[in-house]
Formats: sequence, structure tokens, C-alpha cells
Amino acid sequence: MKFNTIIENQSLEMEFSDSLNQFSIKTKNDMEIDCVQLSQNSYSLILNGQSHYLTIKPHLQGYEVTVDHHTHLVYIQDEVDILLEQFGLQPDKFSHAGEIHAQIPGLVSQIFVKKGDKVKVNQKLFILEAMKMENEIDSPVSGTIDHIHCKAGDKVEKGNIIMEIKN
Amino acid sequence: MFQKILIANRGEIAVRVIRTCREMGIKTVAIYSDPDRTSPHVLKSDEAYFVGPAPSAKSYLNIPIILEVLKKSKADAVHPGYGFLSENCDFAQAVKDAGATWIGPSTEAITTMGDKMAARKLVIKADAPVVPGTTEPLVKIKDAHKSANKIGYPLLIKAAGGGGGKGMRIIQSGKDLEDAMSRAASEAEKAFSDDRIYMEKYLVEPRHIEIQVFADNFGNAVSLGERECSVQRRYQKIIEETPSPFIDDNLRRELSKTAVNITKSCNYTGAGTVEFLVDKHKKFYFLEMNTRLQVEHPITEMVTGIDLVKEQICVASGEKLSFTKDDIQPVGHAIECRIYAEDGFNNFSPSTGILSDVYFPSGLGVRMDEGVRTGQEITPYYDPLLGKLITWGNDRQTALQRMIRALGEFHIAGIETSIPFCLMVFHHKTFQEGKYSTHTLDVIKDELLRDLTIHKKERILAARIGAVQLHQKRTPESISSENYQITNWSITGRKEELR
Repeated sequence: MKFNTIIENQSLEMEFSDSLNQFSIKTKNDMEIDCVQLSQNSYSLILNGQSHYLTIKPHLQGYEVTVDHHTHLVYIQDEVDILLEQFGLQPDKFSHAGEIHAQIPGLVSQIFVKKGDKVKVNQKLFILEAMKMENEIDSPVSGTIDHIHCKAGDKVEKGNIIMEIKN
Repeated sequence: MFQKILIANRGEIAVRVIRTCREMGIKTVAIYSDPDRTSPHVLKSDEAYFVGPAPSAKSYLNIPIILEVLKKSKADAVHPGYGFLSENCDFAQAVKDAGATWIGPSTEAITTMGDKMAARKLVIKADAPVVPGTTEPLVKIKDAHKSANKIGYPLLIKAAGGGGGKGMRIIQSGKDLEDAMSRAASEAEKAFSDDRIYMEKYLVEPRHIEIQVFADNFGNAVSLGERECSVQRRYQKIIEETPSPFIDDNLRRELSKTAVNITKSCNYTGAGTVEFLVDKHKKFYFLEMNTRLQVEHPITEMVTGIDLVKEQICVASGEKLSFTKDDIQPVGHAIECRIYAEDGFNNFSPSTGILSDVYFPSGLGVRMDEGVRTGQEITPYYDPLLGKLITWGNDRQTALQRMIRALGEFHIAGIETSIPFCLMVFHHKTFQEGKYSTHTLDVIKDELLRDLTIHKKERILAARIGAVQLHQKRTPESISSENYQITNWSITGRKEELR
């Protein structure tokens, strides 16, 4: 079985062979992997002799993996997905540049832009209040405000789209 | 002695107070909001009462409802913890009026010290040095500019109504003044229901050093030594240690003496903390006095052997201090690392979600004051402090190595925490050598961010393998006939054994 794993927009193809019980990665074939489930969400992974403790949970269309104090969001494409993408049949569902999401649940207390405004990178867009702090959210891209999905005073959940910016 | 104590707080400090009460044979009453029904402080207390929905204003700050709980539970004293109502003199007075004991200083002391501007005036009277600044609240932008020019940039805008970095802004030049003032005032209004702000000179490379004081109703006031709290982000402490690697015995005595004088000048009783800024020439200035238990009180407990919560309870019940100045002989070194639900590498933005997996460190010289458990949801409603890790050692090096070891043992899944960031701070030479100031984190932040990539490759590979592991398991055709606990990948390891 082939899998394509995507973390932070970086892909890595991995091949898992049922008959050989082996697991190989394109350039690196000699990996010793021993992964044992500890409880519902936790695993012990010994990777080339290095011991890791992992917590793995399904999250959105991917998996949230916590390892060594860091959490990574991993998307997986299996053979069918890879094939579809090769034929250009699947839109790139993992990239949303220009969509501003709420990274944390909170309250949008002030919005500094309106639809049609031209914004530059790092220009302040809105204030997201959470945990008694006012967090200023700046634009990650330059472009035009295409759509604003909420108004000042709205409560937002983590992951909600707040605004869209078009190049 | 009290029979039952109501703890008007949540999280790790409520758990901390419950632990001492248990040891003293005192029953505990917890209060909880909607999302806290299954939080550890509720699970660990003897009694628990619902006080309202998630927003603090409707629950943990809801004085009438908390007073009702006090009546209903027949508790004979109230411990306010820190934050929330701990420095609210109306609440302290209402508790007394209801016939219960307030575990804290007099309402007069709370009022004076809680008003940062009144405190400055009192301290100036007591002949202690204060940071240059304004003594009246900032209202008009024109006057603010005038004061700013007199004091000189850079300067700080601070809230008169409370601390904790809320309502605080650093200003480099006059053009930022107006924006910062309105933002600080609105934050202060929200945090303390008091939008008064004032201005203070921003010292260059200062150290934040505080003295733990304790006083009883018999005129005794004692210093329990200092805590070094200079490692801060967003003007909030994140790592503390005692003794401070920066000050010598002379300065230590000087700070203690000043702190005790200030304590006496406001007829203080119970636990209090006098905060100072110490500049690089070792000149010190009074910053503020906190009229409650501090978050970082455990490091003082670790080196003095005194249970500060127990002492608070005893003093409130009318007993004399159990120690004198001569009894305070600190032993060894203690470090505290606050564990926040914040991404240290993303501007300390708060992180929320369900704690799907939590493993706390333990072992020799390790103390964990925790306020969360596995399965708990971290909401945006409250302070993001999950708990505190405290290590003790015979000397600084031992305590530090132990801290690094213990942080490494930590595992929290489901949210981002400040742990990886703090680990890198402890490894950094400015901390290793004890040569840091309140500005250090800002200076070394980018360097730490670069270092973050060192182990990244291996970590990311592990994450990929882990994800495929679960993905495989969830695909029907790949579910092996083996026990679910044994995965395909364990076979590689098993084959090795057969050789």
C-alpha cells in the first residue's frame, strides 16, 4: 500500500508492504519501525532505536499527532487519492491561502477592514479576544478583501473562516 | 480552627488550597461554572456548588451567588486564591458581613495596594523608591503627551486596577501613545472593571524580583526571601526561581527590609508579595504589592519548608505566625515553570481544545501543581494556566537539570503548550548562566525559533508514521486479524527477536 503523507504542505510518499510487513520511504529503505498501541489514542514508536510517545487522533480530514511536545496535522492520501490527483481530478483540498481562520475560539471585537479593501501583508485585520487578551490578527497575504464572514461582536469557533482575501 | 473552607476559585490554585485543607482536616467547598463541572478542583473537593455559566463575570466573579453558596454550605472561611475576587475588597467585606472569615489581608490593605496609584503614594510616604511615573490617572491625550515627554520614552502604560500584564502597553514614541492608551484602557476595563491607566518609566534591562512577606495580627511581619521572576512574556511571568542568581546578600537584606517596612506601613496581615524592579546597577524600585498568594509561591515553600496556604489559614484563624525572622533559613534552589495552554512559538497565542492525553512528570525533587486532567476541555474563558512544574535541588544546577528532565517527561496532547518553548529557554545560555532580564525572552525568541528545527525532521517523520498507523487501522481491508493492541509495525521488531 502506498500512502502520501502531507505535513505543512510537504509531501512524503511511504510504502507499506503487507506481505513483508515492511515500511519504506522513497529514499530511505532501511528503517526499523516498531509501533505499539498503548491505549485508545496513544502509541509507542521506536524509530531506528529512538523511542517516541505519540498521541494520534483523527482531526478534520487528517490526523493530529502529538510527539515530543509538538502537534502536527497530517493529511494522508492513499493510492486512489494519489492517482486522482495525478489526473488532476482532485482539487487541492489542503491549501487555503487567503482564507483567514480563527486559530482560537473567541470573540471578534473589532474589524479594521471592509469588503473591497486592499490589504498588505501584516496589515491588521481584526481583534480576536480570547482568554482575556486582545489578539491582533494581521493579514498573511496581500490582496483584496473578498468576503467577511462575521461582524464585530461575533463569537467564533476554532477553524471558522473569518474573512477571505483574493490576490 | 475552621471546619470548612469555601475556595472561591478554580484550576490549579483551587486544587492547591484543597490539598492543604485536606492535610489540616478541614472540609472544602468548591464552586464551578458550566464548563468546569468535571474539572479537578470539583472532583477533589468535599462539596461543590454550581455558580453560573462560563463567562467569569457570571460565575467566578458573581459575588451574590458565591455568597449564597457560602450560606448554603455553612463554610466558616473563604480562600480566594489569586485572580478573580482575591483582590476585591467588596467581596472581602461581604464575606465578613456574612459572618465568615476572609483568608487574606484587611479590606483597607487590599484597597490601598490594589489601587496601583494609591500604592505608589503610600510607598513614597514610607520612603521606599518607586519607578518614575504619573501619580494621577491618564485621561487627556494632551496631558499624557506632556507627562510622557517629562518621564521620557520608552515608557509603560499600566492599569491602575490590577496587574498580570492586562491593560499594559510599552510605548517607544509619542505616535503610539494614543492607540496604546485606548487599547490598554479597554483591556483594563474588561479585566478589572476599572479603566484608569497610568504611566511609568520603562527601565532598561530590569530584573523583576519580589519578596514574599507574611504578617499576623500581633504585629509580626517577616520576609521569606526573594523570588526571581524576570523571565516574562507579554509582561507575564513564565519561569521563576529562588534564590535569584542576580542579587547578593546585601541587596537581599535591603529588599527584605524595605518589603517588611511597606508591609507594616499598611497594617498588613497574611501572605503578601512586594514586587521590585532592580536595574543593572542593582538600584531597586517598588513596583507593586500583591495582597494575595502568588502563582509562584511554591518555590518559596520548597526552599523554606513552610506551607504558605497553611500559614494563611492559621493567621486568618487568629494564630500567631509559626516562624520568626531567624527561622527563615532557605535551603537549596527551586525553579518553577508555568505550563500554559499557549503556543510559545506562535506569539504565545492561546490554544484550546480537549486534553486527549496528559502525562505529568514526577520523581525526586519534582512537584506538580496541576489544575487539569485527561479528557478535560480547555476553553477560552479562563486564564490559560494548566499547572505549574516546580523542581528543587541542593544547588541551582541540580534544580535546573531536574527541570529539564521533568519537562522532557511531560506529554500533553490536544492543545499546544508552552513546554517546548520553556525547555529551550532552560537550555539557553542566558538562563544557564543566570544572566537574564525581563527583556531576555524578546531578545532570544528568534534564536529559539531557529533552534526549533533541530529535531524537527525526526519528529515529523514519527508523526507521519503515526498517522499512517491510525489510517491503516481505520481502513476496513487493512484491519489485521491480530489483537488490536498489536500493530503490523510491531512485527519488524518481533522479527528481530526471532533471529
